[in-house]
Amino acid sequence: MKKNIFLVIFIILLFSASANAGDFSGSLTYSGQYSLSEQKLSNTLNLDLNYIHSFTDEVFAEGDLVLKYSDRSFMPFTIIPKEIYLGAYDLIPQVDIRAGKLIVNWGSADILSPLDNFNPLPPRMSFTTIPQKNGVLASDITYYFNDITYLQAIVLPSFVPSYMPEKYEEQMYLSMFTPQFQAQGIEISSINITHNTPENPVWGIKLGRSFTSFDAAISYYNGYYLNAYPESIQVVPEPSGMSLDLGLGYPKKDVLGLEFQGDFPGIEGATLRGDLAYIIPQTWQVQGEDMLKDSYLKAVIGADYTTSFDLYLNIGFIWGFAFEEGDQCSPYISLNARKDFEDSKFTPNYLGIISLQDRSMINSIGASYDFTDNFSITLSYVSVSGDQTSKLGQLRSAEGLYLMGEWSF
Amino acid sequence: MKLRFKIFIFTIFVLLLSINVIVSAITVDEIMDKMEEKAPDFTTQKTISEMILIDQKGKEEVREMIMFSRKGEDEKTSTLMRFLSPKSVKGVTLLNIDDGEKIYLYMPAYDKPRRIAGSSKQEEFMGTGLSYEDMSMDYKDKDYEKKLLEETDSEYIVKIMPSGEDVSYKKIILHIDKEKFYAKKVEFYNTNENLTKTLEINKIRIDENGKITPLEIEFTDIEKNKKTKIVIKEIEYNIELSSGFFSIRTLKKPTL
Repeated sequence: MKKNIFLVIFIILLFSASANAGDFSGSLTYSGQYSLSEQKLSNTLNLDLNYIHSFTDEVFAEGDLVLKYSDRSFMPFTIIPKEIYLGAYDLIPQVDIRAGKLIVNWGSADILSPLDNFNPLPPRMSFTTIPQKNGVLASDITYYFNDITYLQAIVLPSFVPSYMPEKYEEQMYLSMFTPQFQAQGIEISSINITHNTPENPVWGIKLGRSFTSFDAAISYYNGYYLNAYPESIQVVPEPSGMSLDLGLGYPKKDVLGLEFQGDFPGIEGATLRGDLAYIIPQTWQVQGEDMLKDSYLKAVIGADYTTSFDLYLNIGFIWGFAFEEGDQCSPYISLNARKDFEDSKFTPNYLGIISLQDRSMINSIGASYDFTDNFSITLSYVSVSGDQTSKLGQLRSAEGLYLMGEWSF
Repeated sequence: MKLRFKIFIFTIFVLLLSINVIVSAITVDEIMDKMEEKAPDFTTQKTISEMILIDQKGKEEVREMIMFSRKGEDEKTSTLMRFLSPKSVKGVTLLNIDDGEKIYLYMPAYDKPRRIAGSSKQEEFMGTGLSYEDMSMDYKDKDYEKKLLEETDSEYIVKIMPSGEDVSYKKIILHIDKEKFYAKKVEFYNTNENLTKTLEINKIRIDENGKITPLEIEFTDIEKNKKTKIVIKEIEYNIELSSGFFSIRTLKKPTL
């Protein structure tokens, strides 16, 4: 907590002290969702302030602070220091360094990359905007052997899991375990959750090279699952009834990765991007049942193509969705399309993901309108098909109408 | 960007060893040589310019950008261009290496370099009306044939016929100022020999050595009825750039 307060103060000082000396930018974003399942409107207002200060040609600092108000969250007002770090480019010959609160992006895929494991993600998955990751204390050191080959090392002094609001987490696990105990004739009236978060360092290395027609990198990640897994479950009698004591833990995992992007062989005008992850999990049992045991693969492979009439298409194959691990991984096909019109500020877009296992589906159709260079509005409709237990049907809460207005300054 | 494009085209022509057709007292090679003499002599360059996009109705959008370029020992040019404004595209950076052999696009929202497939080079870049190929100056200089078509009181008209597997244009016509030896206008004809694009130099600067720097370049897409005007605000030659400047390493750097 003290660490966060320090970071916030540091960022505010950075913004206020040097507002005229560096490069300041920001955006104010309103997001509204009308949930069709809950028939409820929720609103979020985000103020994102970014400041870059160059001390010399080689050394700079960047701060990115988000002030967020949400009427759907259990914490309506939050201040998130997304990134705050010192960077040095070539201060040591052929070495670039960043240290502080960082966002690290691994993988060639735009979304759902199984190689992107350093930063926690927000609890809700968005199908209308780019996921906003949270920064973590880390060091990023890259050594360039030459212009085309590099070795990157990321070190986090301690693991940071994805954050889930306490009330939301309690509701989720209550709904998950209550039926199981009801079947045994036990009525659970409350839940007490404890997190056993590893304090060990997390690290990864990546060796990348640019070839004539494509770029490729191999990587190794040594860390933990960002989402919690039940570790211990105990029913405890309390004066108000039976309480569930739930211990959550974060299994260790090693990820061997391959990422690539470049010419799509045989398809003129298409760019191929792909991420393959071979994941070796820590064996994890709950109530004698294996939740994680054997090594498994996750992959995202896609191709970008723009037609002669300016229709952008991205077709992807996904093996293992964000919430799937181990033997739960299953295949999906995604399609992202966007049409740019000549002399029009209007840009319609579509995102569809279908589970090849049970045919459940998510569709997002929308359009954005650029009123000016710095102000745009996007309206989207997200629908989910498939029953509640299906792969994508369980994301029913994402169904609804979305309105987003963004002003950049 | 257009400045480099023009210079590149002119430079490669000088290097050609193809047919010379003499229709005048001056040969086409001599015209090219003179143009080469008039072009600024540099290996690296930095420009800050405004890109003005003009739609069919004449409505303008202004984007400010900074661009660095370097001509390698093999005469191949690498460029790095970053938008400075408006805020909606600020930080978007395009890197092309060795005449577009490799092209990368960096978008701050994704915070990672996206490689653009070589075969995607003819797609439009960020609504500018220019293709990745136009931005990268990816016009191979092998086996281009050139011919002096006409000589008027004020200009030489030269035809260039690109050849090779990957050419976008059947022919390119240059209108060269007879007095100052720079191309006032360039016409691009597609493979069906239809005029598709033109490039005009509206304003130039001549330094004390007689070297010519274009300051205002107008690019017209005839098929789409759109114009892109580039106004050079600052230009520096032979600046010091590190050996690894034109690499993905620089793309992610927040300050240039």
